[in-house]
Amino acid sequence: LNSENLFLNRAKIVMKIMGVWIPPPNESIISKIYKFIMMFFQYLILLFLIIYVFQMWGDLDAVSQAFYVLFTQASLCFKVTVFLVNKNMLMQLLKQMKSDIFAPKSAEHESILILYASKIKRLLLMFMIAAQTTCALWALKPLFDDVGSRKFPIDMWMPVTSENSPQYELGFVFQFVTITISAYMYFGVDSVALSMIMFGCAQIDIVKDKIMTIVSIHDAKEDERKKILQDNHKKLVECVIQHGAIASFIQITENAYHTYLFFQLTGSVGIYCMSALRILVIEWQSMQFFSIVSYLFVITSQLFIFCWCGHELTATSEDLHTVMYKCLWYEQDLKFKRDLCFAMMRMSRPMIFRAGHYVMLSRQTFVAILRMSYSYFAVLNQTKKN
Amino acid sequence: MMTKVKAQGLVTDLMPNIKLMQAAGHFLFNYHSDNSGMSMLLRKVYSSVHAVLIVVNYVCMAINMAQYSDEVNELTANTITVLFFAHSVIKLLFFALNSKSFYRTLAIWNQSNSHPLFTESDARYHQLALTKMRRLLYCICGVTVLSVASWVTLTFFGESVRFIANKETNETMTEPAPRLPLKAWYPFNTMSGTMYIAAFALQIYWLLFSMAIANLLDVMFCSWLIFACEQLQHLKAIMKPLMELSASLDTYRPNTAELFRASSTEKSEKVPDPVDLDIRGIYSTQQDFGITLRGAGGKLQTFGQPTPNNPNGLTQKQEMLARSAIKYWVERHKHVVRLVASIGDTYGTALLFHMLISTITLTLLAYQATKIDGVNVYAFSTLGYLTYTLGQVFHFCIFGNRLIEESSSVMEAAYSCQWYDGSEEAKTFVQIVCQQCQKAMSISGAKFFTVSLDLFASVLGAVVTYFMVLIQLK
Repeated sequence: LNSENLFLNRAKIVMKIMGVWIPPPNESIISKIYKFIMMFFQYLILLFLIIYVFQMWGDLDAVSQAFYVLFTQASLCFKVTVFLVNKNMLMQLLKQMKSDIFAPKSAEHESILILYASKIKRLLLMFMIAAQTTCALWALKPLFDDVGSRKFPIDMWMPVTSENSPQYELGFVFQFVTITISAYMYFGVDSVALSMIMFGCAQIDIVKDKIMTIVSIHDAKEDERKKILQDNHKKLVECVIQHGAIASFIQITENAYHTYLFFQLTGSVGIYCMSALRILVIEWQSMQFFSIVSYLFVITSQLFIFCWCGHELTATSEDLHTVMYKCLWYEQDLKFKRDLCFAMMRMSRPMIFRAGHYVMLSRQTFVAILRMSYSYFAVLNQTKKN
Repeated sequence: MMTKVKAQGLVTDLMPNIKLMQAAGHFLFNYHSDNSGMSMLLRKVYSSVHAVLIVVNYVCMAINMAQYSDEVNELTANTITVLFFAHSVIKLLFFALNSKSFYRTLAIWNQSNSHPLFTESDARYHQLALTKMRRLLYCICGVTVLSVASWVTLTFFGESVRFIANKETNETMTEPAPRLPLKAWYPFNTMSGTMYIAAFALQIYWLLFSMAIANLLDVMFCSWLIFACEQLQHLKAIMKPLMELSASLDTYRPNTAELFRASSTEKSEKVPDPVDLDIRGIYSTQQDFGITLRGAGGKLQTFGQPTPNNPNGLTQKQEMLARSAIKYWVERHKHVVRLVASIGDTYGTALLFHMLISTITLTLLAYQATKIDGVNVYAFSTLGYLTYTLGQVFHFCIFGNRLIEESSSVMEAAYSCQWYDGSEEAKTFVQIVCQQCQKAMSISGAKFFTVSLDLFASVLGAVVTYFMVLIQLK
């Protein structure tokens, strides 16, 4: 059972197609050029959006419309750049995933890994579908809303005008394809970070399972007792080593991906405000309304998945402390009990995943972000009315 | 009491900072190489002159604020400036009154323990601390100079006016005011001429020195925290070799000679391999020596084959090194705790005053920020004040936060070295260390609040909240 493939196969395929997965040691020139072209298009769109925002400064409506696309694109460029820059850490993480400590040792362990992998893959699939729907709705906007006038799907500065025929189609296709690619890249990079966290959760569950397999010495014969006690102590030591390895695994994941998580969390607040302001203005029967609603759904789901994963990790590691107590410690020898005491002292500290090494990812954070965005939205709405 | 203190420990590390503080006019009279009565008197005169000038100009600004308090905008702007420079006056006074406490904190690290096996690690982390402290000092000095330069530059833009409330019609008028960096009342006319130039020069000097006074003291505080953090890093780094040393006392380990390798470069005598001792052949039984060979403290004899108590055949010297390593670790940790406690006692009250004044300043700045209507001098100055004030708070919050994180991660370092393979002695040591390190070391502002990033986040959140509320009320 290959943990890496189990958790990351979809993400790997998507990112390999986009050209941003970890390159093999002897990367060919063609794949380097391909990667460069992909990244270049993304940055180009970002540049166009920035120019557009500068052009339209002062007009709150136009700025808010452009702003949320700008933020998404900036967030994506930042994400992919951080991902590519930290590829050494990713290789380290993948190596650790395949190491002996984390290898499943029984059918029970394998089923735990499969369960967690399927959970996260389901959530990410939902996010992927929502993202693609949004892209499609954006593309359909010119065809439904602005019938007659030729406009691009997304308002941004384009080097070509929409009048001339082949250039309009080219611009349209360019925007649509690049935005779709960016949605896939989003999915890919987020999958990696989230799968690592869920892998950590799965491993904690495996540790819980291991400690519960401590055998009772009650029924054993006299001569077997010593061997069983030694086996049990060895299991405890394995659990301790595995717990330490999980802690360092999560720490490396946090070090690799905390920057863009922080950027995303703080930016989500601005996104909610701007999108909510747009919704109030636009007629609800237009394609644009649906595209904004769908976009809000995408952002909310992404934020929720992150906060949910972080919370799962914290909750599972807090639970580990309780499970350690449930094992048959009172039948073991003094050495086992003292070592267990020490292990429990360490496990009483839960594993926290912090964005920007500061904001703890949890359900409470999710609620706090929603509340903050609502209050900013209320203020901006009031200002607009006055 | 101005005793001649030999520069050692923290004083040597912080000497550039101390010299700059002395130059800026703080009442810091220790740590000079020449302590004759004449130079001491000169230094006191120097500091007093600076103090008098700073306080006098500050009072002039306060008088100006009182004079033009009718109009709300003018009053708010002047209050912000007065509060902004209250930091400098308070820090100057605080240092003068509390200098003994500062000297005590600076002297805490004068005598530190050492262990031959760990000197290399100690030196490395000490050097790291030094580099970081210097870098911080240069950075903050650069920021101070830059701020003063941009302030003076901004003076030349925009209209040089002040707002007056017309008492009959109750509307705001403007009247011309001298084009000076700071609005202050002077007994002479500063609109133009030589008096104007004199006042301008005085204000440039005043800006530079008052900002320097406040910032240098903060830099000293943060440098102490950097030092404490690097000491904690050192302790974490030597945890693993310490565990192995401790385990080698009563558990068989294959490579114990490696552990003692560092000591062989220090000691002149060669550390003998147990097999080489040909004494062993002669003195093979303990009975030959009886009690006389037992060293102080009931140490093991190491002549002869490895006894059950000494499975690795350590020499007496090696055994002493191993036992004293734990003592070194614990004593060093206690020393760091003492240092942090002393830092908290010395600077806590200053932090409390700083936060109080900053809170009021930031509230007023939030109000000022609601009146920004374009890219002009007003916007730049308001944003400048805001950034600077938040930056000052962030400066000590980030270092306070680092201290908390470092001290609570000692437990994880202890846990991650393979304690389960070690001896009972090693395990007990790690267990007790972990118990102690569960509670993180932190700096508190006179016990009112803890200096951490949470504090900064709450300050920032408060500013944004006030801003939003005030915007709604407009």
